[in-house]
Amino acid sequence: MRYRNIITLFLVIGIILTSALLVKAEKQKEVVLYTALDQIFSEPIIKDFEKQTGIKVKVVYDTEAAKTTGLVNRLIAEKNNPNADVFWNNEIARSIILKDKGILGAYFSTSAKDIPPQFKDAGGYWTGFAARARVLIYNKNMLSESNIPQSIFDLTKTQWKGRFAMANPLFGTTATHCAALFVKLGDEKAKEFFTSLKENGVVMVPGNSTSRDRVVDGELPVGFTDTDDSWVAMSEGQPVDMVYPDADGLGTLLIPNTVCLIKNCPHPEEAKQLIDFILSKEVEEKLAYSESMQIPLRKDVKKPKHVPDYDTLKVMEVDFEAVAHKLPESGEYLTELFLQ
Amino acid sequence: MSILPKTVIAICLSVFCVIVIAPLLLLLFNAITSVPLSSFLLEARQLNLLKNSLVIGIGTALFALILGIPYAFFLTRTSILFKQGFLLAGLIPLFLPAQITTIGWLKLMGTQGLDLGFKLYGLGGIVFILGLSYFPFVVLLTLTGLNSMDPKLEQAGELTCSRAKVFTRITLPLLLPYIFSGAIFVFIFSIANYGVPDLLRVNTYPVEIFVQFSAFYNTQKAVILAIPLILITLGLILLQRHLMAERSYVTLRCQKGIPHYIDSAKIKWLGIVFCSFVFILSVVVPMLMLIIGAGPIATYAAAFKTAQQQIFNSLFFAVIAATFICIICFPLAYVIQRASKRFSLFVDIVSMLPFAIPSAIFGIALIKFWNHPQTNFIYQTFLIVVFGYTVRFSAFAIRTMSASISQIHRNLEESAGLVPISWFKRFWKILFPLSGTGILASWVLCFSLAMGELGTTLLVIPAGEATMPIRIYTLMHYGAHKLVCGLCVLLVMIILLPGIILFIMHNWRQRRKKAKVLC
Repeated sequence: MRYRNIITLFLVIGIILTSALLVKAEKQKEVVLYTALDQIFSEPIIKDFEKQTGIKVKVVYDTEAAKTTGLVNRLIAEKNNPNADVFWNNEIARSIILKDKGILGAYFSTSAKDIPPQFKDAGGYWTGFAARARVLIYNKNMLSESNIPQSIFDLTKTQWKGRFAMANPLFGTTATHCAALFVKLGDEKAKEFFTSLKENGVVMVPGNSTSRDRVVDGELPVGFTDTDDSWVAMSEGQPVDMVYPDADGLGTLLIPNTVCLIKNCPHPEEAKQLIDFILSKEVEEKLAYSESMQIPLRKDVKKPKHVPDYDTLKVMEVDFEAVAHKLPESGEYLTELFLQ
Repeated sequence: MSILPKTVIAICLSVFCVIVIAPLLLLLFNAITSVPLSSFLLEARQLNLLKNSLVIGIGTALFALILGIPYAFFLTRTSILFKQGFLLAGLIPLFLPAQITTIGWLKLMGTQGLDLGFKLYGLGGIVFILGLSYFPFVVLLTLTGLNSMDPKLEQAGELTCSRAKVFTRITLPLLLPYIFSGAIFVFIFSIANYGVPDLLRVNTYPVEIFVQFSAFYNTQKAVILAIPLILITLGLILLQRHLMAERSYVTLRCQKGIPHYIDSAKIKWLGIVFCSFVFILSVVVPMLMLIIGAGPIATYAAAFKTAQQQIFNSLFFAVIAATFICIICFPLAYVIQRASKRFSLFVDIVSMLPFAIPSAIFGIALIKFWNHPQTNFIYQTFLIVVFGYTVRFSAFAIRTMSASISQIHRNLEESAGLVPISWFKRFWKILFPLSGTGILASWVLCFSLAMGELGTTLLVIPAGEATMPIRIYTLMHYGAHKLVCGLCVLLVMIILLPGIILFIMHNWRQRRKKAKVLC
């Protein structure tokens, strides 16, 4: 066969495919969702919604791990001509940033009535549900019962020198956690804490899942991570367990999922239907039973045993707005401290 | 006399300008006009990161030279066995995404792996991995240099001097521009690489850009921070052009005259050992670790099942993009060869600049430029992904095609010009068949690169679609290691397939030609 024939063949195939795709007319009702919750957890829920309502959900998935946070940047860049209808964020601080940048629209969902008020925006710009906790994961083979750190402040002690991991504090839930500590402790004490973490040889890793992996692999005994990352390893039968730290002090930081309506979105009615669905008790229950073991914020939601009661946890009381507004300042300090 | 009419060239050039240049200029303009002058000055910490990146760039370039020059030398100047096989093996790393190579190596020598007395984490490890990924640039250019050299010069030298002296006094000086040019490619690619240093836990200058972008949502500052990288790249492109002068970057033809073989058995064996060793390090080890990581065949079935749609999407985007890039870039490549130097400089710079800009920032540029109600038919469909790939990979297509066009004798075109037929027929019957290899090679290259692209795709992918690298990335976070390994292996196989088919076909044609001549 001659090159020319091959190239012609490619051209013809290309043109047919292109026209087939352009002609494909979509008449079905649809809604566009951007979600940062791992596809593996969010996809079944979206499928349920499609089945129930017959509305097609077009999704863009992302992970909140370092180097992407692509969706938030994309939403900001798309501000003048929004393509998304709903943003399902797997954390809260960036939803507040989006609200400040004028990207979100207000919507008070009927499904959210029984969600505690500290997890809802007063103006209806975001609504929280199903939370993850910031925990310490530890390797059971490496630590005896009495040695397990119960507070994040223990990690500044010399016995932990160079023996604990933390994800890059500029991204993801770690960034939110750091900003929350700045708000709770005040700038001075927070800076002191992070400086002593650095002096105590914290092992910096790209993301929370890496932090978990290094503890699972037995390379380090302890690491900062999230409940979902820990539970993935625990349910696989790895020799690890987790501590909800500072039960008799500051408390454990809970970071809820948030769902937001995009201002001037192309399909507002379908978007509201989707938000109502995502905020329903059934979804919170499903997320609690899933491998991401999200902690329900409502009392009457069924959950498996390994998921703690919201009431029994000592939860760090923080004003999420203040945390989000602190992010740039804490981020700047942490960049100077760690990114060298 | 040009076969392609001016209108065709003008249309392609305008499409190229709109797709590749306009989004970039818009972003640069916005950034420069909205950020205070003080942010153009780098702090000590940022300079330190820049230093890390430069060390990586220089180190990788040197390591790539150490691997690439002997590799090319053994292929052209000795009669080692499996020559064609080694040639293919030497090009494969170019098609393996560097991050996948890193994941493979980390499985062998990461924290859980073997202790070979060499730590992968750190600057040394980055230079090692990037060198293994990018040395084919040096091989390609050195091969071109060796093949286009007149062997008579060396032969004349050997009449009076020792072989070593001939090598240092004749061969090497003639080769230097090619070698440097290869090293410059390696340098440009390694200073801008973000993924590999991130996996190997070293902070580099691109991280600083990402922090501005991902942690502070400050695209403008991120663009400003990218300016040093842009300037370095620009300087190097100019240097490369100066070094290469009129020389071609790739020769797709055989040697001029009789090559100067070294037939010593010792050297032949040394060549086989060296080339095999490089192949093992750059391809076999990482792939084998991924295959081991994936485990049983069932993993591939599961991987295929979970990512069926994404595999189809990736193939679709890559096929369309590669075809589109070849169509748009062919006239430009032609003009570079047949028009003024200034024009070719312009196209060269414009098509190379995207390598200095982090892919995510490009994503933002594309969104800002294309996301308007009037252009929704582009932004909300696969076309935006095709445009993204065009921006990122047109340089490869232009260089490869322009090299093959440079080898077409003008007499042929001029004779064709005398025949009273349409320009299209002249193009279709003369120019196109003569540059067929170049076009196919560009197509394969663009296809492979598009299959592996993540950074830009992630930001512009239309809702409801996803590609294979996106699927791998989202799975990686969840910790589905087996599935990730399985998908990586599948991706690599798909990426390599067209290249291997092309290579085998080319060889087969060559052999048939030889057979015909003998008959």
